[in-house]
Amino acid sequence: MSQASVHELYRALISGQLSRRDFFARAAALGITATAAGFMLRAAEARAQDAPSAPPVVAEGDGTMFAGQEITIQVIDASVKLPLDEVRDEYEAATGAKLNIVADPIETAFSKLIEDAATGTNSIDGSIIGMWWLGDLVAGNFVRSYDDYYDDTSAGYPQFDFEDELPGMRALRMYGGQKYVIPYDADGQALYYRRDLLADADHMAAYKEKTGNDLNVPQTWDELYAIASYFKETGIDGISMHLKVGGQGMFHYMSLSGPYVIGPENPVLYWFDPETMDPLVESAGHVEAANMIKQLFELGPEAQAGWALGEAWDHFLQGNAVFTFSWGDVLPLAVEQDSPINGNVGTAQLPGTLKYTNPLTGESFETEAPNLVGNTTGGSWSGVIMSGSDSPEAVYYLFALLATEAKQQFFATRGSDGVDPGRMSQMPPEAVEGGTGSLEEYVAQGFSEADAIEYTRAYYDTFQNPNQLPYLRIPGTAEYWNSLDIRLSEFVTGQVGSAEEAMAALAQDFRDINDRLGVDLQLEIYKDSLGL
Amino acid sequence: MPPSHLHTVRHDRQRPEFMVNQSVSLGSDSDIRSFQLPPADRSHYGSGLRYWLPRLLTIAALALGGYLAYTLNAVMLTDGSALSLQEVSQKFTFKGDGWVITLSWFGGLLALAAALFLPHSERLVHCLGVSFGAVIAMAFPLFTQRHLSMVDEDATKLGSGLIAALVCFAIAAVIPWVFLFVINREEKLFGSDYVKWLFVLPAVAWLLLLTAFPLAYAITISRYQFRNGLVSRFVGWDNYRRLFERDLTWGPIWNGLIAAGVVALIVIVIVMISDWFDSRSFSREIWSKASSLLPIFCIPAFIFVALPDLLRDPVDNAFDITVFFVAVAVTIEMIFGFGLAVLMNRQLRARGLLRALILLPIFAAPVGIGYLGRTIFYEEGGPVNSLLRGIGLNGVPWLSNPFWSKISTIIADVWLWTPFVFVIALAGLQALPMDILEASGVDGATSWQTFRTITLPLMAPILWLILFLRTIDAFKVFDIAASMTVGGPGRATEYFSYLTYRTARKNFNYGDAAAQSFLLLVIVSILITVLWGRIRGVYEEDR
Repeated sequence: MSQASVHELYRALISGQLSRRDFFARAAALGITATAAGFMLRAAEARAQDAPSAPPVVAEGDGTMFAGQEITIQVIDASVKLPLDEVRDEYEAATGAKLNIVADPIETAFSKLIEDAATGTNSIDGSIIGMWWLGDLVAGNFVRSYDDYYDDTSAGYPQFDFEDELPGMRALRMYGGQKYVIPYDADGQALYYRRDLLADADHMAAYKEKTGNDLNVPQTWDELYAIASYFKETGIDGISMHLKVGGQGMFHYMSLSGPYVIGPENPVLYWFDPETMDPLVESAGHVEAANMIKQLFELGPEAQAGWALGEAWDHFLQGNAVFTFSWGDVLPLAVEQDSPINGNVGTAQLPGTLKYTNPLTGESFETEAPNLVGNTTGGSWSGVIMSGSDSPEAVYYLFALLATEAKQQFFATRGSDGVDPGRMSQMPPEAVEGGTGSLEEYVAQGFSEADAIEYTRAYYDTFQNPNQLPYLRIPGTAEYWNSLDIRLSEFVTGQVGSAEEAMAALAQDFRDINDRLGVDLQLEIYKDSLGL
Repeated sequence: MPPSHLHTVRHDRQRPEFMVNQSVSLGSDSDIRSFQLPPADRSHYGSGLRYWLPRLLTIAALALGGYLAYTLNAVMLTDGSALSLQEVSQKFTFKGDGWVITLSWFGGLLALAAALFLPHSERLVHCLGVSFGAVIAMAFPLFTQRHLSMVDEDATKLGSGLIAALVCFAIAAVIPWVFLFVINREEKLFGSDYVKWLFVLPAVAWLLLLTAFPLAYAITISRYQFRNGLVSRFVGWDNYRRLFERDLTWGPIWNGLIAAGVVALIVIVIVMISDWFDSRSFSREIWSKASSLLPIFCIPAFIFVALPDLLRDPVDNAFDITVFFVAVAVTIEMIFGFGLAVLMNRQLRARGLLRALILLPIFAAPVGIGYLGRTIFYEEGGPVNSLLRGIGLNGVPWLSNPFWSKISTIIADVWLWTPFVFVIALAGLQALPMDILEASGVDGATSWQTFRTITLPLMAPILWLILFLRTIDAFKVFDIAASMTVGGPGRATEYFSYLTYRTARKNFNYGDAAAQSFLLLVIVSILITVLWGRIRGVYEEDR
């Protein structure tokens, strides 16, 4: 908790939201002054070098459009809240509406939103949601489509291009052919590696001698395991993961398991049998993936089982591990914090496998080139308009403002706002053919050109990959994933004997949830969500 | 004047009537023997037809109202068809107003209880209770009348069933008053000592409305399924069935019985050994001592061994680890707290300051202790592990290891609640009669002998009471696990209350969560009953 909190404070400090005195006062309240002092020094350095400026002002209006209206926006109490705070004055000046921001912990935000809508309280007009909430929200008719507002180009709303997002990400924003989610953040996991270690001549030679292979950026999970094992023996942790229950560890599993199950011959079968709704997580590919994540866990500190996101990132950014795989925040944070490994952080699309198994038929497919699978794992935190809102237009205006190209280009280059790249307008042409982003924006924020190119290319490859990990978007998704989170934690901490046992228990959890929510109804929605 | 005369209250014409013939004494054995309960009101129709007639009529009116409500039409529709009470009730429940039918049932049962159990001597409260209950029972018909559109767009009016129920409940509310004022009128209309109820009624109303009714509503909730936080369908007792294994067998029951038997043997042996050490012989009191202790140990042993095998995952795990937590944490707290109290009961330098320091943790919020624990037990660079590494030991995986995570929550709980045990035990120690303790010293008893044979027996009632309070509270452990470990790793610290919280608030599964809550309620109630029996026994022995 302390490290994560210090990071939050640190981000607020370097973005100018907190004075030094406030920074220390809050840090002291957390009982972490000593740690904070270290960050303070780093922040001063970071500010002096390249203080991130504020995002550009793009709202136009004379303050009459929604005068007298008041909207309340819910957001998780994390970095993605920062742009909302920044845009408040701009929004209120342009529209005349008053903006209230309610920040809830990630653990309780969804239940609070559902309760607010289900009980008809309707105190929340809009919310920055995780994409796995959408199934419940649409099924409960708690959110409204914004197609009408988007299509109405004469109403004075800020303009953004829905098609600008990469296909994998764009699919998450829609349900049943209608647009529900206004793009804001784009999440997917990529591999971060220590470029200096992998390019070190001594390590290259030693690794070649030990394994007979060259020390390259791993293309498969087996290669990654071999490299991580080598470095673990040299005293450097092989990997850094966040596997605390409630710490989003299940996303690690999803990203890693994709290429064990998904491939050209099996583009969608991952979670359930679309004919019976029987869980597929007991299948061979899933079991193999579970074994791999446990093996990798053993190459990092045991404390990973109690780590949330901040702690895992920090361990990597302090130079204690050779790999981590996570969201787009890692490199921008390395830059922003002037981490000890800044300038040596490489980014790549997640490794693949040389064999994947259809979970329904059990048929295995071997591949010559690594089977890489894209993912949109994570929250991809973005705005929805609540059905019960009295001011849906004012809510749309706000989210559209945050989605404008100018703001998004800025957000993507800054680590402390948690908004990660997933649009063509955030991809520099030097990295991606047809990209309309600006490499200079990244460089201005402190990225090296090579880092920025590698980073954006990795995310482009991830979201553009024709093989995508299917995102579960049905009612009860949060519950299915809670189960996955817990069973995974049980397995890696040795509370369950084998991967088979762990995945069988998970499958039983899934069946119980299906039974309780209604198999037929779940099946129907599941098929719709897959476009079957 | 001897003390017994000072404390004896004798019969006095000026005393209130309900105290007539009551003799209260704190002085001598003869006074204790003369203690009597106040006599029942033996007025001329304390039994018989005049006593029972208004009650029977009330019960009949209530029962008839309920019967007609359930058998005749509840709501009429424009096309002439009708909806039954069950259909109307389900529609309300699905829309979040299931409390209305529960309230009506609650009122009806309250009125029945008042009609059946309140004696004639309490006739005012009898009338008030019946009327209050009957009026509450009218809630459902009245609510339906006001919210017909919520039932159905085509609903036009109340059906004959609900109208009849309204009339019957209204009659039930009036009957006792008619008898009180007209048919059975007495000189003392409301009885002789009804004023006392003015003092009791607020507490009764509080309990009924804020404890008994929510409990009744929770039973209703536990029989429904939820989706997205809204009731989706009636499932009967499925939520309770889901607590238990699909294929129940007798094996766990036998295991529980065997465990209880083994524990019984151990208790008997310990009592015998203790008796032998006391008198170098076996006294006849062994069996009475043992039999008073057997329920306290054997019933929990049966529950703790049998139940986990009967319950389904993850409820069994939550039960298992909660029992482990309660047993370990409460035992340590009792030993530390009482030990510190004994230590602080002596003349020490800076005793006041030390007591204040020991008490400090009790002022902290448990959730704060949880977060603090997370910082203290942080594995990479946290203060505890830094200290351990500083003295050449390995760090402990406090939060990432299933066993150590339980230990870290127990340490936090011990740190938080030991002061509670300490402060009550210290108060008890300071209230002990000094003359007996001094006399034992004069007689040459060692400190240990004085402690074992005088202090400990005299403190027994208080220690049992502390154990009782801490056990109940420890079963509800939530904050520390929620803030320190979030129930993990895996489900290693998902204690029962946290499981219920997660079921309700994370999975929106309020039906299962309510059923889990009732299971915990039953288990804790059994333990409370057993412990309370022991506390009463100890107090009686003490007297």
